[in-house]
Amino acid sequence: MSRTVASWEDGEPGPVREYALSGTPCAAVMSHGVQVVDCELARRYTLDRKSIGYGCESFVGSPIVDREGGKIGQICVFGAQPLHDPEMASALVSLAAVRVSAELEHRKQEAALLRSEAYSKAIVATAAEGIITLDARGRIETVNRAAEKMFGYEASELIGEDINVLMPGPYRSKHTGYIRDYVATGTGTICGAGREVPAQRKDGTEFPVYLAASEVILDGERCFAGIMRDISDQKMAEESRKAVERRFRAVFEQRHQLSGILSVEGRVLEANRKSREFGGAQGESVTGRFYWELPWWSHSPEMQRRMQEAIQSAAAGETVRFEATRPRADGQLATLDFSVRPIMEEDGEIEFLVTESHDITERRQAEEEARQHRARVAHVARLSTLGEMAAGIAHEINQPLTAISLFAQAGRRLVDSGKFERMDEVCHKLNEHALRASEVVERMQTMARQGESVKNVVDCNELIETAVKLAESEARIYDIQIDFERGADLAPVSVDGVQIQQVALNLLRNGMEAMIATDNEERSIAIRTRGSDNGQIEVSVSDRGCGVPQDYADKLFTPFSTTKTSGMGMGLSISQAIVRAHGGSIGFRNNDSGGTTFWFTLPAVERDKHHEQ
Amino acid sequence: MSNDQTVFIVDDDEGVRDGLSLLLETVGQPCELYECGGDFLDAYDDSKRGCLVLDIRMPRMTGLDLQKKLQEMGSTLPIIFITGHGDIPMAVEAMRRGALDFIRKPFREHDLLERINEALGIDADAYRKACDREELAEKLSSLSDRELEVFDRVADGRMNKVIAADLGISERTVEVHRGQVMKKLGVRTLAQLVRIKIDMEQHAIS
Repeated sequence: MSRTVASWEDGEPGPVREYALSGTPCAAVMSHGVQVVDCELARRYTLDRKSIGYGCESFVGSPIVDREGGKIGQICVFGAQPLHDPEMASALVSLAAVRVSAELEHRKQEAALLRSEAYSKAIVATAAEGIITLDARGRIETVNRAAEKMFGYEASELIGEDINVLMPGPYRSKHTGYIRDYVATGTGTICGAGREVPAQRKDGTEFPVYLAASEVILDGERCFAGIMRDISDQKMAEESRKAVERRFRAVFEQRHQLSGILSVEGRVLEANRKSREFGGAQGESVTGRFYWELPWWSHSPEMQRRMQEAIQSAAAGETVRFEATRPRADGQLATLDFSVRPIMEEDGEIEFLVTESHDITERRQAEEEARQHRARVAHVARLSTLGEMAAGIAHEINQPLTAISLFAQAGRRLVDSGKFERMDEVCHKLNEHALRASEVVERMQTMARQGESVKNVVDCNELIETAVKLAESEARIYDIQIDFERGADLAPVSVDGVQIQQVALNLLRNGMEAMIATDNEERSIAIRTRGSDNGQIEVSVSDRGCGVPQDYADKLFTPFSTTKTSGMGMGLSISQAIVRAHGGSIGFRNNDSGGTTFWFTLPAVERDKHHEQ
Repeated sequence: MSNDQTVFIVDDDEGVRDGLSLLLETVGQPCELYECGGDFLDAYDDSKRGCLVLDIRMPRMTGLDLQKKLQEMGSTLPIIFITGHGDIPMAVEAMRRGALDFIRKPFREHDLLERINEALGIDADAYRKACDREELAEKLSSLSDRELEVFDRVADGRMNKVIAADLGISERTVEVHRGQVMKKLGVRTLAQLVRIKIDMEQHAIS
C-alpha cells in the first residue's frame, strides 16, 4: 500500500489516501521514471472505483530521488481533461519533483548537523581533556569544564582573554609571536603533533600539559582548538621512574660484587662494571649474549657447562650457588662465590634472573693458610703429646716385645729338645705379639704424621676406639680404667680423622690428669658417643677428677693457660680450633657426682650423601 | 729346678704370662699363672713352696701392694720383680722392701732362669732351716727345767764349777745334766751347743 504525504484536489488540500500502487500509473513512475498520459487514461490503465485517478482523463508523474538516486516517492497530477501541452506539464511536474528532492535532502542534512553539534558539545563538555578554542588573534573563545578545572578559572573569566594568561611568564610573549607568525606566514609548528608545554594555573603554579592543537578555518577566519592533558602526575611518575632508574644504575654499576641480570633464556640484559672489567678491559659487549658463552668462562668447558646448568635450574625456579672460577686481569684464576636466582613477578612467573659473584680468592687463600697453620700447630701439639706419652707408649711396645722374646727363647729350647710339635704354636704366638707391637707403632706413627689435612667419611666409633687405645697406654701406668660406651647406629662424619683423635686423646688425657691430681680411689673415665638432635654426633668424656675451678672456666680454651705443672696449655685451645674447623662445637660441664664432662660435636654426614661419595 | 717348688707368675699381660709359662715348661719348672694380685691372694697357700715372679705395674693392685700384703701375712716367698720401661723408682722401692731382685723386660732367659733358680734355692734353704728350727724346738722342749738352766750356762761358756756354785748343786750333778743336754739335743761338741743357742736367740725359739 502507498500513502499520500500531501494532495491537492479540486482547489483544496485533499485527504490522506492509502491505495494499492499496482496497476496504477504511479507504479509505472516508480519503475520507469517520468510518465505522461495526455488523454484516455482509462484506456491505458484499468482503474476501478477504488483506484486513485478513477474517471480521470490525463496523468503526469515524476519520481522524487535522494542524493544517491534512490526513488523515495513521487509527485503526480491526475487531470479531468486531456492535456493541451504534455511537454510543458511534464517539465513542470519534473521541476517540482526536483525541488522537493532538494528540500528533503537539505532537511536531512540539517537534522544530521544538529545531532552532530549536540554530540560535539556533549563530548567537549564531558571530556577529561581540557579543550580551549581561540580566534585568529589568540583570544579565548570557549573553555570546557575540564579546562576550567585544570587551570582553576571559570570559563567566563577566560573568554575573550589572550591565551597567554594560561602560560608561565617566559613563554607568553613567545607564544603570541608564534600565533601571529603562523597566521601571517602559514609557517611554524603550532599545530599537528602533540607536544609537552608548560602551563600556569590561576594561582600562579606551573604545570606541564600535553597539548594537541588544530587549526579550523571558519568563514574564512582561522580558529585554533587546543586539547590538553595535565601531565604533572605522569611527569612525576616518569621523573621518579627515572630517578629510580638512576639510583639503580648507580648502585648496580658501583657494586663491588660482580652482578648481572639475565633473561629467562640466559641472555645478558645487564652486567655491571665490576663484572665487565673483572678480567681486564674487554672491548666487546656482553649484552644480549648467552651468559655461559661469555669469554669469562671460556677457560673451562666444565665451567661453561655448570653455568648453563645453573641458569637452566634458575629458570625453573631454583636458586643455584657454587664456587666458580674466572680469570682476573692478571691472568690468575679467581675463585668466585657465584649464585644465580630467579626473580618472580607477582603471578609467580619468572621475570628475569639475577647473577651475583663475590671474589673470595683472598678469603679462600686466607682460609687455606689458616687451615695449614692450624694443621701445623695441631701436628706440633700431637708430637708434644706423644712426647708426654712416651713412657706409656714404650711400655705398650715393651709388653709384646717381652712376650716375643720369651716365646723365641722357649722355642729354641723346644727345638733343642726335639719337641718340634709345639713350634707351630710358638710361631703363631710370635706373630701375634709382633703384630700387637706394630699396631702400637702404627697408632703412634699416625699421630706423628704431618700429612695434608684430608677429610674422610668415617665411623666416629672407630676413630674414638683408636684414641682410647692410645690413651690406655698411659691409663695403665696410672691405673685408670677407660670405659668406652659406643653410641649405636651413628651416622658417619666427614673429618680429618687424626685431628679428631687428637681432640679425643686430649680430653682423655686431661681427664686422667685431673684424676691423678686427686686421691680418688675409683679412677675411671667414661667416653661416650651418641647421635644428638639436629644431625650432630656428640663425643663426651666424663672423669671423676677434681673438676674445673669456677674462676678458671673462662680461660679454659685460651692458649697457653694451664693449671698443670707440665704441658704448654695448648691442648684445649687446639682442640677447640680443630672442632670449630670441622663445623662443630666444644664445651664442658661439671658433673653432679664430681668431676667434669668435656664434650664436642661434629656434624653428621647424611647417609644418602655418604653413598654418593 | 725343682719339681716340688712352684714359680708363681703374676702379670696382667697375657702374652708375658704365656711366654714365661712356656719357657718354664721347657725347663721342667712347674708354674702357676695369675692375672692380678687379687687372684693370687685368693689362691694363696702358705704351705706351697717356690718363688714369685711379679710384674711391678698392674691395674688395681700393683706389685708393690702385693709384696706388702704378703709380708703382712708372714710369707717368706722370695720375690723377683719384672719391670717395664720407666719403672725403676718403683723397682728400687721394691728392693728396699726386701725383694730378691728385679729384671727389666724384655729379659734374657739366662738372667731370668738364674734368678728363679736362685730364688728357689733361697726358698729351699729357708725351708730347710725352718725345718731344723722346728726340730730343735722339739728337742729343747724335751729338756727339764734344770737341764735348760745348765744348757743356758754351758752355752754361755761358763765352767762347770761356776755353774754348780750358781745353781747350788754339785759339780758332778752339773756334768750329768750337761751330758743329758748334749744327748737330747744330739750334739757332740760344745761348739755345736753354742750355735744352737745363737740360733735360738736369733729366731726367738724357746
